[in-house]
Amino acid sequence: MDRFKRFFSSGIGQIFLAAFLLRIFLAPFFFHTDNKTNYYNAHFLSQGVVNIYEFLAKNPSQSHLGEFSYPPLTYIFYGILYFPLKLILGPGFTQWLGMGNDAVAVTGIFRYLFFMKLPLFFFEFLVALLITKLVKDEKETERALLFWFFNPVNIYTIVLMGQFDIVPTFLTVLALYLATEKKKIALGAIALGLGGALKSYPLLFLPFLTVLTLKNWWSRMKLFCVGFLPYALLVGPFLGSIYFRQSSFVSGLSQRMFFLGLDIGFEEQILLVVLALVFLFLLADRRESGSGNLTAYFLAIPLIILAGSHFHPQWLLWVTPFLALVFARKKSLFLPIVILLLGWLGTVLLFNDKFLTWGLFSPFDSGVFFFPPLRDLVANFIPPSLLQSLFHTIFSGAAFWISFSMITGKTHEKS
Amino acid sequence: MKNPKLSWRICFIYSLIGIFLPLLISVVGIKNRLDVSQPFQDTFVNLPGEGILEQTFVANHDFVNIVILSLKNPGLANKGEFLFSLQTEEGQPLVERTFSGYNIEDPCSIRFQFDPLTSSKNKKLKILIRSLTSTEPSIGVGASRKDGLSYSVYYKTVDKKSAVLELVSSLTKRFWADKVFFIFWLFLLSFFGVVVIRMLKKRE
Repeated sequence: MDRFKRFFSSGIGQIFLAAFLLRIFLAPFFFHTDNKTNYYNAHFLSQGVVNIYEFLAKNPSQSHLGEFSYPPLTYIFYGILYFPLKLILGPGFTQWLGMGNDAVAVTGIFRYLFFMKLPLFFFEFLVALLITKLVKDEKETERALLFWFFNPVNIYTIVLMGQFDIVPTFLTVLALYLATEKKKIALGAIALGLGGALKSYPLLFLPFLTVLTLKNWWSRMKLFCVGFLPYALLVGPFLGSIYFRQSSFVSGLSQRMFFLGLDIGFEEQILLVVLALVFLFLLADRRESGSGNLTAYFLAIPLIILAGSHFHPQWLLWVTPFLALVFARKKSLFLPIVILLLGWLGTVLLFNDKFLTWGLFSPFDSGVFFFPPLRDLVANFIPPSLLQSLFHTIFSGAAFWISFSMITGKTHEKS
Repeated sequence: MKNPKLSWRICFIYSLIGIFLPLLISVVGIKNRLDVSQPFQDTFVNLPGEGILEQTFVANHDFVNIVILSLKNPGLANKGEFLFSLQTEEGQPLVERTFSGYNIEDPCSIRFQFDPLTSSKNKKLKILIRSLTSTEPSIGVGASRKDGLSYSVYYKTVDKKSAVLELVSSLTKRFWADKVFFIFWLFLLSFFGVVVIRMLKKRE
């Protein structure tokens, strides 16, 4: 008990408490469709449905909220969470899940939103615990935690939207912790493979983990296979299903990474995001082995992807724990991080999707659904696509600067 | 920490923004408020070629001006014509709108907006959806097996003062309607609030 008292009266404990109270306070009032859709589709697991992709395609009358577009482990994750939630929230919960996306005026909406987000907060706090292990100095830990809990990306994507990207994000930070602090590289690789089975991007970290921690190519190959195994085991059984391949395997990141290209004629393109990632990989290979710089690469990989792709708001969550870690040590990154966040916010708010702006407030008053998207409002003054491109370019500039600074170590503290 | 209260200040600012920004937007910008709805939906009822579906409701306010229905047309397969009609209990049409299968996604909410009905309060009204062509396959209309078609009806607010009162009263009513959660939520906030105050005192 005394230990708890001591912890919560410390600076770090106060940050944990403030973060927890803020989440408890705000969680019931904000709604986004993705969380509801995922729970709705995953509730079929309780009815014994394993291949959700095939089930929804063959039973369109049950597909109230569209297809399930994430890997199978995400389906299992939500499907397992559904059991306790159904017990706590009552039969009305399942009924509500099946309603349209504008069903925000039902009795119980505040309870549903609160409990649906609780498991995500749990992972957010786990990441915070890992941050306390990864940063040694107390002042730096406090700075990292303040950034982690109170940056607008976490508040927007976890507290307001309830995006599950925090789970694979946790696994990437766990991989970093296992590889650098515990020197258990194989376990770190497995964490990345599991993360990839939830959302594919952590798989891109795997080659970097192998080349940055091991010298010998045979050992690297073995480590890569160990990391890839959980993904292969969880996704492999579904590869034969055309419905899985159509709705999950070829969507989101796997498509958008290939859009930015330079035409070189004869229907060929140089894909710039892939080019940058290959360059980064070879740079990692050239460095002396040792996991010291792993944080910088784990930061740069998603930053480069986001800089060159049309991203979803929650994708920046892949970056924020690593930003917290580097910001803890390098205060000089404050300005680039502010510019990065401004670019992100501007890009996100100008998406043609009212659920990303007014729709979040709909539990207060469902009349917000009649508001035009923010994009339409700015159209009277400036072409929205130009403004959005400007914000994305600002984001990309800051992203490249932060990546470059961290990879090359060319940051110095201003006195 | 240089400033031990920094996290609390940030927490306070986010809380204020989180509560007051939506209220402000709602009061300043919203012109249409929810009047009555049947949100439950556990099936899609097929609307066959040249078929009709009906649903009645009693409006709670004057100036009803929007009806939203949940429809489903997988792969835009049905490209036929449909009629939406809002009628009195006796079947006298008040509003009629035609729409095409091209406008129905898989699934989607379709909004029918019209001039506000000046004396709709306490009137029993009938929503009617009719397929004007015999095109197959049928479209689906979201419904509850127990409560009929799913729908939301909105009315136009007349002045800001009543809008504020209605917003606050509707929000508190909805929160209080789930008493168990409300008490649990308040307990959590109070419990951790007390912990925070104690710890801050201990620090000082």
